[in-house]
Parts: sequence; structure tokens; C-alpha cells
Amino acid sequence: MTARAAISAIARLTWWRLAHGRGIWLAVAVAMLPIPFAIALRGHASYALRSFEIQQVVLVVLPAILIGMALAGELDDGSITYVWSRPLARWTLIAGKLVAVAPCAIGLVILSWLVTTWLGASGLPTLASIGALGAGALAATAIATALAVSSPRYGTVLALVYMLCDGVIGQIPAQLQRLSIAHDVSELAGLRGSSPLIGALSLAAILAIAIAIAIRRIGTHEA
Amino acid sequence: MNAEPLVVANCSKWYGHVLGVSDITWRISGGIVGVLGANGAGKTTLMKLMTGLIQPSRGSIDVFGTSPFRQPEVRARIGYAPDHDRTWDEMTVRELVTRLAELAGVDRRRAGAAASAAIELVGLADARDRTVRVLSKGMRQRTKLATAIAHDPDLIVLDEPLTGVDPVARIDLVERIRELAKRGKAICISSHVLYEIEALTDRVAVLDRGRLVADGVVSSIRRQLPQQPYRVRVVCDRPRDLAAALVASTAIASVAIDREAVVADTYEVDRCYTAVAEAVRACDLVVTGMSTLGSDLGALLTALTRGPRE
Repeated sequence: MTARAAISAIARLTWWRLAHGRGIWLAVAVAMLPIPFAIALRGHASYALRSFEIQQVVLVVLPAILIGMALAGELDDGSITYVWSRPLARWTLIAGKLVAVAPCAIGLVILSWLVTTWLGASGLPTLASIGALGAGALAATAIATALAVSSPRYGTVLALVYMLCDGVIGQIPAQLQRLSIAHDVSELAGLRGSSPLIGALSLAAILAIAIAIAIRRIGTHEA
Repeated sequence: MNAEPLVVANCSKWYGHVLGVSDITWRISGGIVGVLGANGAGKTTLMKLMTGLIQPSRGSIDVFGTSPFRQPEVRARIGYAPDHDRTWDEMTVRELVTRLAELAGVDRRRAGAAASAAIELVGLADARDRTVRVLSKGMRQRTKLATAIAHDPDLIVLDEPLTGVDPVARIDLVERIRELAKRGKAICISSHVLYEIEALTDRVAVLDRGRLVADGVVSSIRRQLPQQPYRVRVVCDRPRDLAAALVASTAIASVAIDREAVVADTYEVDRCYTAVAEAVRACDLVVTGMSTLGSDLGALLTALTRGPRE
């Protein structure tokens, strides 16, 4: 079985399970959380900035929920034995899950952002903000994946805790703040006054490190 | 590749400080082979090693000449049904078997047909569109068997496939497994109940506390047992009717009623189970549980290990 076929089969299986599970509705509900804030803040002078900050909460929480359903649950409850006993290289599981979950996370985050800005009557969001949120959702999905593989039972909780700490890390006035997805997303969206390129590079580094950890951990995982 | 289906050489597995299996050397050349042992003896660990789910702490395990943990390609030739029931319950039987056939390397366009053939073979054709969540224990066991064979593997590893299955379904499932062996598959099947294995094969390996304590033909191992009957306990809705039907059978040495269950002693387990199945059919009984009181295996293990069980 080729790696491409394996990734495709895992991704299709994951999509099927996401589409037929109840968890996807929880993810949609989280994606829609900013709507009440958008309505409440409508017409406010700092609406765009405030709504983007709220959007970052969705950005970090939503991937943790999706990966929890798609990966951590299978690793924890033992149903992964059906996958492991198939002729698949371990890394293809990570690739397949990311191929399936990342577009869902990115799509829901961007959809949420479009709805929020539309409700706020502030016009369409900038392409930079859409791209930044999409890149952030991808990085957050990779981190959630690494945590799910490292600790399947507590992966979702750890991911949520990590993501909630992310905002705090982003406020640290030092280079450490580059570890924060929220900070890097703001930078990439051009809201920090610094070069968007630095935000993009920081997100790419977070993404690469998280995927490397996930692949390394899955290689030694025993069902 | 003409290498033997399974070669285990000085294989040990620890989970931290807990011993899974210890220094096992064993091989399977073909046919049906039973792996016997009490709960915690190491059967599941051995089967996980065989299917590449875990890797040995020491020694080696080769399936068709290749390590199943390091070389995933060889797992296309392995079919595995785990002992647990945790699967993707929201799927129908057909969806589950099809998806797992695809993951085993069956072409997407052929996976549906392969799954249907496997479902047919295990006798689940009528339930193919039911979700796994609503299936009975016996049907779940058949579903697991279908997932193990849909990709036409050469080595089939079945971990406790008869556990919790009622007598009628048990006889049918045994026939299905025999049918697979006739098709040239090497089958390794585990159980903690000797008669289940005896119904399928005369070749067994006996595990005790992680060690391989016997490997060979059942009859020669059984001769080490003191002559004592098997005791079978059947829980059903009308135990008196079942007891009355069983009394007439020459396969049963004695019958007693224990609350809602019938306890039968027998020296001929195969015939006893046939008698129970016939009685259940004839009296139209609802069987809710069945177990073999494990003194036979305990005695066997005591004899083999020359020491009392912990």
C-alpha cells in the first residue's frame, strides 16, 4: 500500500467519522461562539480588533476538540488497534488525520471570522486576517495532534490547557512570545506593527516542531 | 515469499516492570493452532506481537520472514481480530468491514465486494446494514472475524473469538473458522477454555504467566490431566426444560439446576455442546450466558507448571 493511498484512506475514514459523530456539532457551536460578541460590540470603535481577539479563542480551542475526536479518542479507547494491524506506516496516520482535520479546523475558523465581521457591519475581513487565522488553525491542529499522541487519555485536556495558556505566553514581552500562536497570528495579520514575515516564520516553526514530535511519538506508540 | 507464517525466537515483552511474555520460542507452519492460557497468561501480548501492534523487548518475531512491527507491508498478509469490542460503533457492518479492507490495502473499487464476501462468509449477510452498536456479542465476534479476513490474509490471528458467544452461534462460528483453514489459511486462535480450542484443532500452545509451558497435540497434553469431567454452566430462561432435555443425552454425565442456570458435567465436551445446542433449539430457549467452569485448564496448567496457581 502506497503512502498516498494510506493517507487518503485514513483521511476519508476520519471525515466519515467526523461527519457522523456528534462532536462535529460541538465544533460548529464553538466556531459560532463569537457571534453574540459580534452583535454586542456592533458599531464599537475597536470592533475589528476586539472581534479578532475573540476569534483567536476559537482558533486555539476548535482544533483541540476536533483532534480529540479524530485521534486522541481512537488512541485512548483502543479502536486504533484496527488501524495499527493494517499495513500502514505509522507516520501516515498523522498525515491522514491532519489532511482530514486541518481543513475542517481552518474552514470553521475562517467561516466564523467571516460571519463575525459581517455581523459587525465592518465590511469583509482583510485577506491578511483570513490567511493569518487559517495558518494559526493549522499550527494549533499540529500542536493538538502532538499532545494527543503524547498523552492520548489527557490529550484533549492538555491541548485545551496549552491553548488557553497560549494567550498568556503571547503577552510576555520577550522573544518567548513567538511561541504563542495567538501572538504570531496577530503579527501575520499585521496587527502588531512588526513584520508579518516573522509571524509566518514563527508559525511555520511551531508547525514543524509539533509534526516532528507527533511522528516521533507515534512511531513508538504501542496499542 | 515462502517463509513460515510465524517464527518466534526467544521473545520477551515487558510493560515497564510487568511481564507480558517471557523468552518464548515457537513457530506456526500452517493450519489451525490454539493458544491456551488463563487470563493474564500472555495470550493477548503474544498476539499483539504477532500482528505488529507492539514490539518485543527482547528476541524477535517474524511473520513470513519479516518483522511485523518494523515492516508494516507484511501486515497485509495478517488478519487480526482483537479480544476487545471497541470499534467504530456508529458504522454499519458493511461500512466497517469495507473501510478496514481499504486500510489493509484492498483497492477502493474492490473493497466493497471484498467486504460483502467476508460478511457472507461469516454469516452476517442479513445484518450487513445494521450499525455495529446494536449488534449482539455473537454478531460482534462475527463482524470482527469479517474485518480480519476481508483482505484475504494468509495468517489469521483471532484473540478469544468465541468468548461470550451462545452455543448455537459458537458451533456455527467454529465451522466458519474451519472453512477458512480449509482454504489454506494459517490460523492462530486464543482461548482460556480448553474445549473451545479442542473443537477447532488438536494443536495447541499453552501459556502460563508469560511462559510457553506446552506446545503440541492436545491429546498428549490432556493425558497429563487427572481424569475429571468438564463442567458447563448454561444460563437460560427455562432451566428446568433445558435440564430435562439434557438428561436424555448420553454425552452428559450429570445435570443439576443452580438457580436460573443448568450445570452439566461431561467427559465429551464436543458432544455436550451439540446436545446443548439441540436442546436450546428444540425447546426454543433464550440463552443469556454460558461458561465452562475452568478447573480443566487450571488442572492442566498445574500439571504443566508443577506448582499451585497463584
